[in-house]
Amino acid sequence: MTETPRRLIESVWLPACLSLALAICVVGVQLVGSESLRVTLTEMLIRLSIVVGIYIFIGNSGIISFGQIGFMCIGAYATAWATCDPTWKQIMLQGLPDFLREHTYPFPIPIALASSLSAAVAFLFGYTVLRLSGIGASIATFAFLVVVNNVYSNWTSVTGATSSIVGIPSLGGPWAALAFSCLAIVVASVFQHSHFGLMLRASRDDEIAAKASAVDVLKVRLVAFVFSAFLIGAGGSLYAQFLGILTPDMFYMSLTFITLAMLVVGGIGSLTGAVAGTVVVTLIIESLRALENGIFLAGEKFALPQGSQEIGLGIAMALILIFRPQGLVGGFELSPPLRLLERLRLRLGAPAQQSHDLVSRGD
Amino acid sequence: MIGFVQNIVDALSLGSIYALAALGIGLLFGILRLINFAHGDFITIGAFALIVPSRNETAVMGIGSLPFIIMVPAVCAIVVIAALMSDRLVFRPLRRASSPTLMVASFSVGYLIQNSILVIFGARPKGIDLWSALGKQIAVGPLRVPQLELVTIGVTLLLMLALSAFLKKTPYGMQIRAAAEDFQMARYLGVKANSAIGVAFALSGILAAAVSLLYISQTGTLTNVLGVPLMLYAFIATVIGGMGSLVGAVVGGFTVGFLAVMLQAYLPDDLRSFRDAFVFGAVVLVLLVRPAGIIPTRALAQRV
Amino acid sequence: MGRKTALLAFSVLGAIAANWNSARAADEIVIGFATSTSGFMVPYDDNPTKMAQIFIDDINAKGGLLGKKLKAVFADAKSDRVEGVKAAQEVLRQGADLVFGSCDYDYGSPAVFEAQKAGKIAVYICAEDPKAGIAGPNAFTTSAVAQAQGIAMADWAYDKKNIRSAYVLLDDFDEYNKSVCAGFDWKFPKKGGEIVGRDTFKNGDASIASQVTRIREAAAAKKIDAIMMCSFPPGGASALRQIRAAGVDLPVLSDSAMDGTYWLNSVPGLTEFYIPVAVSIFGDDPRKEVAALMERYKAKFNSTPTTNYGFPVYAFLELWAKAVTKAGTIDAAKVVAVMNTFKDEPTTLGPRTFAPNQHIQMTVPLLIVRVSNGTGKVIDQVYDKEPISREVLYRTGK
Repeated sequence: MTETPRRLIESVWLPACLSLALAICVVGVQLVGSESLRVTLTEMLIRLSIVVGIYIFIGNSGIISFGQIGFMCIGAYATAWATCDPTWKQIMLQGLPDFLREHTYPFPIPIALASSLSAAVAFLFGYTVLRLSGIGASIATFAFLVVVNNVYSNWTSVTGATSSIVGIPSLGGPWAALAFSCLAIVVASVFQHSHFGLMLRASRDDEIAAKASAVDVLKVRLVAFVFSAFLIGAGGSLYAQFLGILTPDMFYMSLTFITLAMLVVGGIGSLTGAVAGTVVVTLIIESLRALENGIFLAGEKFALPQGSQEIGLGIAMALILIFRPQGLVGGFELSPPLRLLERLRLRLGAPAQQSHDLVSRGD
Repeated sequence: MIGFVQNIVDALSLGSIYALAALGIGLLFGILRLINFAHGDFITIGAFALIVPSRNETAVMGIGSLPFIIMVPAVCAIVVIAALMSDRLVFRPLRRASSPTLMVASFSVGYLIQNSILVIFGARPKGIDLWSALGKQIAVGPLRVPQLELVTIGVTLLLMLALSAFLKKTPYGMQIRAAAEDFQMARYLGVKANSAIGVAFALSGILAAAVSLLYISQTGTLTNVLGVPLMLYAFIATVIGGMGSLVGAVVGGFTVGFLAVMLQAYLPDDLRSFRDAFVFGAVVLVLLVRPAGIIPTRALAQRV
Repeated sequence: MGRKTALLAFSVLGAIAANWNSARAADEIVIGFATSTSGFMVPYDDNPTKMAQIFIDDINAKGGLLGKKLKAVFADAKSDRVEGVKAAQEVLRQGADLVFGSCDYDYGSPAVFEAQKAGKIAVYICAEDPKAGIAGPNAFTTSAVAQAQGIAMADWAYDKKNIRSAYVLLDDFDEYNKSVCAGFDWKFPKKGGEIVGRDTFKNGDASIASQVTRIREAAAAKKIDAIMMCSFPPGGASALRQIRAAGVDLPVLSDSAMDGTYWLNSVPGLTEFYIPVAVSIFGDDPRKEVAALMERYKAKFNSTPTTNYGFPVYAFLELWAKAVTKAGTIDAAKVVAVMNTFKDEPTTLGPRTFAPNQHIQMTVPLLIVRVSNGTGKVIDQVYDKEPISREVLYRTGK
């Protein structure tokens, strides 16, 4: 196989498989699942689009960013600005520009606004700080998170400060979230197989060599950073519309850590890892919650004490990292279909039917 | 003018706490490239150690009510045990892991500690009174300096000197420094890596315990996440000071403390709420001007 | 097509769920608690959730409501917003006719919105944010607006304590604190008092040394009679410790969130500290019914409520039961219609008023508690009925 078609196949194969697997989950839950399972799934899919967004930057550049959830905050508030009732905005958010304060906009404008605002901020910030390397860049992104949180928590006339924003219309359940997470996966896959993606990965693996080969490291990092912010901004918008209530503290340390943990647990260097990590960590959390609520074993009710879900999650994440320091998929990417699908079946416990289907297609 | 001098003392005191916390983080980063997010939670453990074994809603001092000479070593011992256990159970199996993996592992440890404390002691904040006599003020001319601030500054200086003497004069200290300088080379030269690292963890535990005691005598309140903001400030302090350099960690801690106090004191009224945005904005500026920190280490270039 | 399938699946499931719901025993009225029994919201949610069970026992002992027994069902909101939605769904699945969400507006709203969507009455179990009173036609909160606390402090300090100049120290970490101070800022100058200085801090601040320095400078430059501190523990307790340690012995006025004895060890020998509360948990509440309520609580749970936040839910449930009896049904719309007509309706905790667009108390009688020697003592009562303007309620003037 020549290089170009192979790259094309790879970049199509990967998102197709991942999206299909997710779609099957959604169909399954829609058919048999309970109301609360549907909420769980929607939240997971939104987080997935965030984790994939984070992956675009961290996975490809090798720079740990603590700041990406700041873009989620920016996206979520942009959505509130575009969708909330004007009479309410006139009272509470007097500092907004007229076009936002006096009007509401239908789908998809709020999401477009969210993504583009995030991307614009990412461009300005990234242009300034991405010349830093390693830990310096990480701290700068961390500072970014704190600054965004601090500004959004105190800028009364524009964000309502600590006063929560309500009345953001809902966008619909798992299907919308599925569409967005698939979109995020496609964008991530196209990016990592693109010219930029390859150069960025080269700079991740050996910055000096990449520079010597005339890779403009700042530029490729910046492109990834902006793409990442674009997707995460959309994810923030989605999250705001999912929950219907907005405060800045939703987008701070705990979400930053849980999303980073999902990425690292799955495997920081591959898109498959990002998806696997999100799904597995969600599964762990939900199983522990189910155990906390109590399950019936041979007629006896068995329940973990309250609080064991959080403790269990801490232990489970530590164990996964100890036994698989490279993450669950260990840098593996969904390219040689057979081996990968076999792994996916084993690791994720995906329905046998589905794997069988895919395996035969892979043949 | 008096206000200004007073603010300087306040800044030195807050800076001391950040510097102590930053030392604990810098020590481990120097050797393991581990950004130990659980360090803040070691501080929390030290604070809760004071009320062991009471779990009452209205806290009762247990270990904290023992005589000073027993109480301080007991608190240190509890934190050191927690630090050593986290090394043995989590970080030792991850010696070869990448830095993001280590970081998330430390985050898991911290999450585990926070939630265990929540389950054991409950979510309601607790009030305890540690060394309130230190709250009394000394008049220095027109200045009124709380004794506690002087003690904090003194303890910090003392611990810094002791730590640097330990690192320079004792065999373990030299092994730690060798490991911090070049981990692989030190191993080739016969440094017992695990024991050197164990000692470093123990030292970071003692530093964390010192922060617990000083911090609690200042605030008098316990919550399961009390160490988190300290850790975050200490974390940025180690980086802007010069990651991996112990002097840098201390300089960074004082810098952050100064920024926080001075901005709080001199920002105009309506901008004061945005203090943290200014502090962290300043952090970014420092990094852009000095990417390797205020006091860069030689080994840093290879590390990042 | 996906959407159609989804709609179909949804309606089938909805039908099943509806059947499931109606499968509950016909002689029961179910009260659902989507409050937190784990995580950091527990200190706020635990007491009122328990207190509501006292009410349920009381009603059942009298033979129930509309001839039906009340039954409580629980689902843990886990101090998490999304879990709040799921907890609400769970109690609704178990047939809840009335759903309680978390004490906090931010954390309670997801559950409250979800329950309203299902056409049920949804109640914040003790939220004091004015927004909780306008969260929807069927949404209520059991408490009074936080501003009322600042107003009560201003009234009492000016009228009874002879305080003419105050320094306002606001913990601007959350909305509650800002609302309390907004009430004080509005009322105190109106009475004729002067606010001679103000400063802010954040609940998580490691040190408020610069704020204390500024208070001392202000006190040296101008006479200050008292400090109004709007905060909550742990930050509030820590700030108070630092203020007292610095030798600032001015009276400190504060808010209901600083109620309770659990944090008092933080500030040894605390005196001259005053808080407004709906109920005294110090055993000296002037109302006999409240003392009896405390007894029943203690008998059932072997502990006393830690703060006054445990109580308002009882008064709310009294009103709800009255409305259900009057309407002769538990149908949400009809019960709410009756509740909307309540004006100065008596309850164990004093008169309560609702209106179609006001499902929160604008004013309630508040007790003034003086804290000293590690305990509190009721020293006065304030009942300020002056209407609070919109600007003060939603803090839009700024």
